[in-house]
Parts: sequence; C-alpha cells; structure tokens
Amino acid sequence: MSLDIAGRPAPRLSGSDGWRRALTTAVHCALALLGIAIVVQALIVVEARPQDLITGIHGMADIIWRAMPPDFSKLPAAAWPTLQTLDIALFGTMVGIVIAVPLALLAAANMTPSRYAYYAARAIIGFTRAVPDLVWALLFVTAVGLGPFPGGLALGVHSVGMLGRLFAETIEQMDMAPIHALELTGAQILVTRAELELLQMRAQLQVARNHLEDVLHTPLSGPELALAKSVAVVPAGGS
Amino acid sequence: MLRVRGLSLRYPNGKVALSDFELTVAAGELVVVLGGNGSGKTTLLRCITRTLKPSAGEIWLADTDLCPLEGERLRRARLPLAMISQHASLVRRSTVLTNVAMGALGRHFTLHTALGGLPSAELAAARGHLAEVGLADLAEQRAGTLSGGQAQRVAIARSLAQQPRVLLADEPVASLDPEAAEDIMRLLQRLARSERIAVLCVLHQVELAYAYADRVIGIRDGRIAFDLPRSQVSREAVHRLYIHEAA
Repeated sequence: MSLDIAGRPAPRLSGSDGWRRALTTAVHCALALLGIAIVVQALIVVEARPQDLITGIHGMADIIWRAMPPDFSKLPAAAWPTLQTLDIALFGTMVGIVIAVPLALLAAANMTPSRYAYYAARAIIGFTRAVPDLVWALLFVTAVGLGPFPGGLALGVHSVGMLGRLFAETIEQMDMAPIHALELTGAQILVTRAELELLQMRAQLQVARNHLEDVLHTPLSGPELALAKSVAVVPAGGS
Repeated sequence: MLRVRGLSLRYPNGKVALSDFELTVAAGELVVVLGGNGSGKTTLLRCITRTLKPSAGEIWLADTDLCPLEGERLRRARLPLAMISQHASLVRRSTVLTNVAMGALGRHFTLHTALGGLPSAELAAARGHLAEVGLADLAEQRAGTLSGGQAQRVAIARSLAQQPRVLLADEPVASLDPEAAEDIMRLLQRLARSERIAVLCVLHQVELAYAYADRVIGIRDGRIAFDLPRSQVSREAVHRLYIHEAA
C-alpha cells in the first residue's frame, strides 16, 4: 500500500481520474507543440538567419564608422523640418485631446448619459484608431491641401482613438464614493447626469493626475512623433 | 421634522426589504436604529434619501413628501437632508476646507462653481463648520492625510455646510476605534441639540445606542420590532434583534 507524506494510505485514483489526467497531459502537450510550430513557421516566413547578424556585423560597424564624425553642416537645413515635425505632433496631440475628452466622457460606463451614447462614442474611438494615420493624412490633404496642417489634423484624429480610450478607462476606474456623497448634497445636474462641478472635480483629481504626464510626454517621445514623421510621407509636412 | 409613513420596498425579485415602516424624528432628537445584518437599516436610509424608490409610503421632510417627487423637484426638496456613511468619501486630493465647502454646492450653480470655484462666503462658513467639529486647524491639510476619525468629522462638517434639518448617518463609527467612535457620537448628539437637527443614525454598537440615543428603533426583517425611548429598551429586546443572525 502506498502512503502519503503524513503516513496515511494514499488515495487511489479511480479509472476515470486516470483517463482525465492522461487526457489533460495530452492536451497540454498538443498545445505546446502547436505553440512551437507557430514560432517555427514565423522563423521560416521571416527567413530568420541569426548567424547573419554575426557574420555581417562588420557591415553595421562600417556604416557607423562612416557616419563619424557627424556632418553638422546639414543641421541648419534640418532645423525647420524638425521643428515642423515637433509642432505637428504638438498640434495633433492638442486636437486629439480636445476631441477625445468629451468622447471619453460619453464612452465611460459610469459617466455616459445613455447606452446609445456609450456605444456611439466607443465606435467613434475605435474607428479613429483603426483607420491608419496615413489614410487620415491623405483624406485631409485632399480637403485642405498640402503642408503641415493636414498632417496635424491626421495626427489629431488618429490620436482620438488612443487618448479617448485611455481617458475613458481612467474615468471608469475612478473612485465614485466622493461623487455619490456630493450628489447626495444636491449638487446640480447639467448636460448629463453628471454635474459640471463634479465633472471638473473628477478631471482635476484623477484623469489629470493619471494621464497628464502621458499626454504631455507624448508629442516629444511617444507615438505621436513617429506618426508626425510618417505623415511626412504623404506630403503633409514634417521631416 | 422627518416622518416616514407606511414605507415599503419590494425588490423586483419579490423580496420584501421594508414593510409598512413608520418612524418620526423630531428636530433636536437623536434616534438610533439597531438591527442585524440584512434587516433593512441601510435600505431604510437609502429609501429616505430616495436613492432607492419605495414601493409604497410617504417620506415627509418638514412639509414635503419626497416620495412622489422626481428630478429637479426632488433635488431641491432633498437639500435639507444630509447623509454621512461609514466611509467619509472625501475628495482625498483636495483640502479639508474645500471638502467641507463642497457640501454647499447644492445651493450654488454658477459658472464660477461649474468651473470648480467655491463662493467665498461658503469657504468662510466652512471654516466655521470645521471649528464646530473641532478641526479648524486642519483646514488647509489634504483630506487624504486624515485619520479615520478626523475624516468622519470632516464628513459631518461637509453635511453641516449643506445646512441640513435632517442628518442621516449610516454606521458612521463602523470603522473607528472605540474612542473615536465615542467622539463622533458625542458630536452627533451635540449637533442635534445645538443645531436642532433631527439625526437618524444606524448603528451596530448597542452600547453607543444606550449611551447617546434619545430613542432607539429596532428593526428585524424589514419591520419595526420596537420604537422606544432609550431608557425603556431592554437588553433582551435588543438581543432578540440579533438572534436569527447568530443561529
């Protein structure tokens, strides 16, 4: 008789328990094999040859070597497009915030005045994010012509998708207890069931705290800058 | 000041939370409600504030029945009705003074208040309310730094800013140590007397009820088990409120 760690007779597995355990093990193995197969096919499709990184390292070193010392004579010519790129990112972010904040209020389950407004706002946020920034840039170029302006607009509308969702999720995570406590004092209803003062308080207290840094950092270091560069492809300004 | 007549609440699933409830709280009176978990104490308060809509009955706040009112009329009629709960629910990042003054927002709705401002007269009054609850020196401190007892005092000061005639308190000392709990009860008793506020307070601490209540109402299964002056409430009657809970 087998004993468990406490010296008691170990419970015997019934036939069905044994089969279940074997089946579970088989499923786990199959899933592991499937995962490995997916990774292997990815390596084949991208023609991954890690050894080439070693053998070809002198090529990378050569490029870096030839880039030294930097040619600063090109700097004045690059200054204006660089500034334009940064400003497109800044302008795009501002446009994004202006559109995203009201949309986020409608798209937050705890703030929205109606279910229809909630789904509509979520749909708009999803759509603006799903449409690539380059497509938005093409659309705006046809509307307002070439230059940095359509680039900024494209960035702004595309940012609505990211910022709107970010804001909406933050609003949904807010502690509602102070809001409910103030609602009981008779604070007044404005456009929606939320009061403007409550709204202001919420924004001031939590949204701003959680995401102000994100928003402010975005134009200079985040995806907005990458987008600002990419819209330059359309020619919608920037470098 | 507060009169409840034939108040009943039946949930959509058929469960009866309150049945034919009657109570009166006069100005200056502190009435404590005792009862086991799920007996209907908090439901009673939520019905009085109209957070829950009663199935039947009347809730008279002075000369106004809150039950048939909705929307803006309900909001206006409810202004003299303040409520504090177990958690102070303060805006932690704002100062104590701002939190207290926010209690007056129901009386003000201007562009200034909509943009987050508070009337200077209300800020001055808020200092007075803070002095009343003994926290005048903490006016500029952030609410998030307060102890539980201090936060509850601020919540009471915020309710005073509302200029209430009736104050509902839902287990206001549940999360406080015994000394802080006594402080809060003493404060509620003093405010009831000095400000002539009708205070209806739900408690689990029987000894506090015996010490501070003018009258005690026992609730069991959504019905009034007794409604007596403190001196006439027997230990046995209180014990019976909790019997089914212990079983």
